[in-house]
Amino acid sequence: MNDNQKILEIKDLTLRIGGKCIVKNVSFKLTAGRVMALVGESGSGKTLTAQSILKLFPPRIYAEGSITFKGKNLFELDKEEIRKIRGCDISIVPQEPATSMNPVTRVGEQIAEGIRQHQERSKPDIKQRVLELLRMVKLDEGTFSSYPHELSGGARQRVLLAMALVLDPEVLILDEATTALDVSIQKDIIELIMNIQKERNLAILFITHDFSIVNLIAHNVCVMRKGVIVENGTKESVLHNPQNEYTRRLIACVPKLGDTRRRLPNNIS
Amino acid sequence: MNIIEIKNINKCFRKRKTAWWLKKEPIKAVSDVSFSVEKGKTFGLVGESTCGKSTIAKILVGILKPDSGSVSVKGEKDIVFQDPYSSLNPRMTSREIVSEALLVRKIGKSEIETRVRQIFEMVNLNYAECKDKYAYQFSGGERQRIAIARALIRKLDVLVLDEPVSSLDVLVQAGILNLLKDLQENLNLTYVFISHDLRVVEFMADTVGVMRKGSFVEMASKDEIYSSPKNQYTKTLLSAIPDII
Repeated sequence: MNDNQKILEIKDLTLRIGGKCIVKNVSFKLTAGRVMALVGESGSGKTLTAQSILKLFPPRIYAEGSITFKGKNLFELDKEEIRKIRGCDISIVPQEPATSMNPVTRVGEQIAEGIRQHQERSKPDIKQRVLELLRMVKLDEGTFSSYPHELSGGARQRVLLAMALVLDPEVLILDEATTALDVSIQKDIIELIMNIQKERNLAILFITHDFSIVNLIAHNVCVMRKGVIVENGTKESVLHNPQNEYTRRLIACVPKLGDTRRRLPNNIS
Repeated sequence: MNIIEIKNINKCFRKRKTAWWLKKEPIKAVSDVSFSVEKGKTFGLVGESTCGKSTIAKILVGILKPDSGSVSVKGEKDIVFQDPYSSLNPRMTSREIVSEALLVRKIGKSEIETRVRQIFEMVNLNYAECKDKYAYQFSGGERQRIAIARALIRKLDVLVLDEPVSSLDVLVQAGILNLLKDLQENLNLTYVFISHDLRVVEFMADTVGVMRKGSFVEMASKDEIYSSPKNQYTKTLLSAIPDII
């Protein structure tokens, strides 16, 4: 990996709550044009790691280590400076499409809000941009004036993606973006993400618990368990030649088509 | 012997009026659906969201009545819902949730206690640790185990499982699927297993029905559906499944 391509580097990230360590010495790099998958079961600290990139974790959490984005340590920035980075340079698509939108505001307005917060632009100009984004995520232009509850789960996920991309970020964090969706819709969304990623040379952090999705989308994989990275490497090496027992179990417990096993391995030692 | 016999059922819902001058439009949720399940077997019901899977589940256990057609389910039946976060009463302890169904019967306290303890063991929950905890104190997988225990406390013949694992992560999902298989073997249960994930259905089911827009597009034995699907929609669903290696 060429070193000057890396745009975000997490180094020895440790998160503590009270005296308890929830994330311990996590380090990885994100590179432009590559997808990094962060895999682990619920409660392994994946989401907190992602949130800490944008300082979105709850205030009672104490963080150590460094997160460097284009030479700046994000932990040293003050509120105003980090606000400028959120959405503009680094964007996050949260876990639940149903609860992460404002239920009483039209979808178009919600997408436009990001632009208004960060840039001085005329009204028609903003609308133009929002419609462009709706087209990009393959939604009807009529979605502009719908409310979130009128949309299906897949459409909501597309809207969230449009919201995250409205300011042309360089890094996109997707937190279980497809977990709540049907298999067929999941496939469409993943194809959409991959197309956008190639078009814009995005660096993506893709959080999931499902190794079959890792196989579809990722270039590199980090496997996390109980706040510690237990294995990392390229997708091929982790999927075909997993070194860690936990990784092996995560891969084996996904039922496959044509599976003849009577039981799935799941025991967590 | 068929324990479940469903014949030509139809169900319509009325859409809420968005303006007074509009007519209430009926939405066809289920149209002309028939199937039967043998005792001790699992019927897998597959399809995308809004195809009518959950409506069928509710009709099977009697929460909804079909507009027409006949439903016959022999023996005791119950349902486990998809969302373990909203299907358990937040103001009751897990012991109260599980034992509630026994309170209407004339059973002594100590007998209820032993029965609840047995059921907790059956679904691999530690009774002493769990009995006084409330729903929010459990993880998703544990909640789903409590929901299963609540259903099994009555001596069941038929259990309808409406997307029981789709909100769980893969490791927890594997645990619940194994548990369901064990329970079926030990108690000779009949399952109707609903999911959008064809891999999970293949793992669980003997017969599979693929639903789209309220009716079956294909129904056959598991082997037939997965090795030689006839319908185009079934093929699309199968191709949407990501390969792991």
